[in-house]
Amino acid sequence: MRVARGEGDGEGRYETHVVPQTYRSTVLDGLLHIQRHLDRTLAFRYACRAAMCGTCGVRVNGVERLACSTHLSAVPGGDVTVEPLRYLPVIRDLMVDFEPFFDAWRAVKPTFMPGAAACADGSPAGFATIGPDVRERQVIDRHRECISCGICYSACDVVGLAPSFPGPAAITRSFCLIMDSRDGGREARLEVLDREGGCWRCHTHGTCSELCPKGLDPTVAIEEVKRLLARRTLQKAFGGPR
Amino acid sequence: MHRLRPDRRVMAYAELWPTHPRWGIGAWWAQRITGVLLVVYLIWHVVTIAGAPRHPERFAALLRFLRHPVLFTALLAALAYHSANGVRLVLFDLGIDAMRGRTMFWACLVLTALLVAAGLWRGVLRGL
Repeated sequence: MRVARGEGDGEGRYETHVVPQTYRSTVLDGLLHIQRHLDRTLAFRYACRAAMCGTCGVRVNGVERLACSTHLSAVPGGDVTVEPLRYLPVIRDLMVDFEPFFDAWRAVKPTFMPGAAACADGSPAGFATIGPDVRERQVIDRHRECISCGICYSACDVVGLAPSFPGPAAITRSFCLIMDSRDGGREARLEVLDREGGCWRCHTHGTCSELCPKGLDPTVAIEEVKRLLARRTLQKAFGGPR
Repeated sequence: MHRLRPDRRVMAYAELWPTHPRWGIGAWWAQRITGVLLVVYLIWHVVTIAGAPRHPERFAALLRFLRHPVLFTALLAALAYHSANGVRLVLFDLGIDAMRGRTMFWACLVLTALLVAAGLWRGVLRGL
């Protein structure tokens, strides 16, 4: 395994280690072997080891993957190069600072804002529910299991070209709330996404959807937001129901 | 009840190595490059045709130039790809995403190949 090393803005380097490999060995197993037996100073993050927490996102041979769910045997070729995610400042080795990712996340107003339909009688017991068979719920379900791993952010070439672009994960989160009829922040969110550097910067490369470890489809979510904005503009221009 | 489509389930749980995960940037660059080439060709084409009554020899030279098999094929391929990929993007913009983006892109390449083959066949029949 060839692992990227380095601290902050300092000069980076690669270190090569030979790690044992079984049929089920993952990239994370390799990193743990290096840390425990070969070089204790190697820094990387992990937690659940089950592709649920989104902590161990790295680039494996240039492709963004969760280290815990990438088998060494699945990577083409015998050499595996592991690098930190792109567009996020490196703290050390494979650890990156997620601040830019969560800045973008905060910018699209990611928290629920109760609207008129949120509480039927103003009490928590009267909280409106959306059943699993309702179309609104089905649309949201397709996009809602994001684990904030940052893989789509690193995979998105537009994030690299236009740092003001919030990235696929943030727009997908915003889309889930926009589609929620109980939420009262729909207009505010659409305003943010309609700005320069908002969802219109997406070039529909589809890399985020290709690489999302949870099988979500951020490209489709972004297109849905674009359609909502286009419809909203037409309605503003020609009148009609919002 | 919402369910992941089979191809998404594979991506999510089988831990397979994604093949060609960055096809989108390639498709994007190809769309831009063919677009610029077609705009240049279009301007050249319009200017030459507009001047054809005054400069028939230039028009004849253009026709001879365009009959070169390599140039004819390249122009046809640029036009076919730009059209097919453009249709793919419009369908996606309209929310018609029955197939995964990559599958749509491969379908677009097959359509491009078919259009080029049909164009070449017609060109050969006309004595290219």
